[in-house]
Order: sequence, then structure tokens, then C-alpha cells
Amino acid sequence: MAKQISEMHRKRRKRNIALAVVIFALAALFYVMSIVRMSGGAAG
Amino acid sequence: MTDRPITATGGMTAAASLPEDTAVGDFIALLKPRVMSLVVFTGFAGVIVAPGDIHPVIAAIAILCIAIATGASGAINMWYERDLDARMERTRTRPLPDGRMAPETALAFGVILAVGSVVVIALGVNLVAAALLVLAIAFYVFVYTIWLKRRTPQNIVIGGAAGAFPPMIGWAAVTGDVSLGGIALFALIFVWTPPHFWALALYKCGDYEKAGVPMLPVVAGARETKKQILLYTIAMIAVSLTPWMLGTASWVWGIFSGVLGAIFLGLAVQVWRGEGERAPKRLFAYSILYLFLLFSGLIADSLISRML
Repeated sequence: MAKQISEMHRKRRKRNIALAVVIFALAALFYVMSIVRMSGGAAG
Repeated sequence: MTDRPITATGGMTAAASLPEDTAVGDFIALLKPRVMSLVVFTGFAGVIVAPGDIHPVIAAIAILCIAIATGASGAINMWYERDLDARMERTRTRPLPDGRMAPETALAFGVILAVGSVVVIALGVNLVAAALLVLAIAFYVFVYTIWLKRRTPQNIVIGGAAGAFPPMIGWAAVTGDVSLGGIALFALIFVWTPPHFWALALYKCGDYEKAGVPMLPVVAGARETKKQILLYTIAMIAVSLTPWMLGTASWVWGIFSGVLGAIFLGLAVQVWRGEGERAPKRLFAYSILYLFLLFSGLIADSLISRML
């Protein structure tokens, strides 16, 4: 039981880290995208 | 006390699973990474081959959005088809049929990624590429997965259009429009899809039959499927020459495409004339290599002609 709870915590921790990475990546993406768009580097 | 979480309906089944049980790898598996890699590659080819210039960051965003939208469509597809997946050998260990993820988690994950990818491509690239991305997602989810797959043996023919969009989206990311060159790349993948999937279906026929999916070999038999593979291969070879005819690719690529097509035709004839699993397996494996080589050739051809 305790082993399963610790396994669940381990998975949850990994998910939280993955989510943090995604959020930071999104922030970086929007930042870079804004800079490029403002410098006129897009079609259409 | 049980170690299994209780479902929303109150029952405790092997398939019941709260998101707390789900590993990061299961979310990645939902995105069908192998399908994603081929789609990313054809999308990239569209970006490179299209006339005009695009900022590398914008090109990368376009390809990223194509990849994420493809993964999102795959996740929604797995949510809808979890009953079929549980009945098929090939798919029964996926996160949903295996009970490692709650269905609503998979659906939410897919919808969030689909909406997110469309918003990002609309803001960062252009509205035409975004509209095509919406069309591709809608085609895969509503037309192929929900409407056609369980109803008609033509599921692959019409539904295959969903997988044909990426190079056209890549093209539109550069040009901001839908032109003949992009449509030719779309048509090429569109006619490639039936022989590719029917070759697989010929030796996975039992699996599809068990799951109740009306794939062509299940409904019309192996003989008819082999004939259709041959006919679509001939159509595919004709379509594969259009990038050269339209001036998108050089005559060198035209010859390269013709040679690759002739090998495809040779293998399709072997499937048509032979029995057993060997020839369909070989055709299926070659069909992936064919598309990879064809688009690699297009990329190389485009880069070389720009340098000359």
C-alpha cells in the first residue's frame, strides 16, 4: 500500500515537472514569436 | 481497502483509473509519436518546397503546431476508439484500454492540445495555415474516426485526407495561400494512404475483423483488396509526377519519383499475384520508405535548386 502511494507520488511529481517544462516552453515560445512577428518575419 | 481508485460511476474496475495513476509516458503514447514523426517530416517538406521565404522561427512554430495537432487528433481518436483498441492485439496495451488513464483525461488532453495548436499557428504563422489545421483535425476526428471508420470500407480512402494536410499546411505557412503545388503534395499522400493501409490490413485482417472495423479485406476479401492496391498504386505513380509537371520539383526528382514508383508497383504486383503475409508486409514497409524518400528527394531538390 505504502509502496503504491509512493509510486503514485513519484508519477505525480514527474507529471508536475513535465507540466512546468511545458508552461516555461510556452512562455518562451510566445516571447520568441512576438519578437519575430514584431520584426516582420512572417508570411500572410 | 483497495489499491484501485473508484470510478465516477462508483464501480471499481481494472480500467478505472484516476489521473494520479497516469505516467508522463502514457500522455506521450496518446500522441502516437510514430505517426507524428512522418507527419512532421511531410510538413517540413511543405515548408521547404514552397516558393518564398519564411523566418526559421515561424517555420519551426508551424511544424510544431502541425505535430501537436496531429498528436491531439491521435489522443481524441484513442479516446473515441478505446473499445476497439481493447479488442485488437496491436492496440490493447495503449493507455486507455489498459486502464492506465481515465478516458476523460485523454479527451481533455487532446482537446486542449488541438485548440492550443490552432491558436498558436493563427497568432504566430497565418490564418490560412490555421484554417487548414482546423480542417485536418476536424477531418481526422469527425469524418474519419467518428463517421467513416466503423461504417465503410472506404474509411481509409476518404479519411486518408486528414494525413495529407501537413505538407499543404507547411506550404501555406510560407505562402499564406493554397496553391497548386501544395495541393499536389496533398494529393500525393492522399493516394498513397490506401495502398499503405490496405497492405497492413491484409495481414492484420483478423484483428480488424475481431474489432468489427469494416476494413476492405474484411468486407470485400483479400482478392478485391489486392486489386484496389494495384489500382491506387497506378494512380499514386501518376500523381507523384505532378510536382515535377507543375515545376515544383526538377526533372531529376521526376525520374527519382518514377523509379521509386516503379518499385512500389512491382511490390503491388507481387501482392496481387501472391498469397500469404510476406508480400503485403514487404509492401507496407516499402510504402513508408517510399514516402520518406520521395519527400527527402523533394527537400534536397528544392535546396539544391535554390543554391544553383
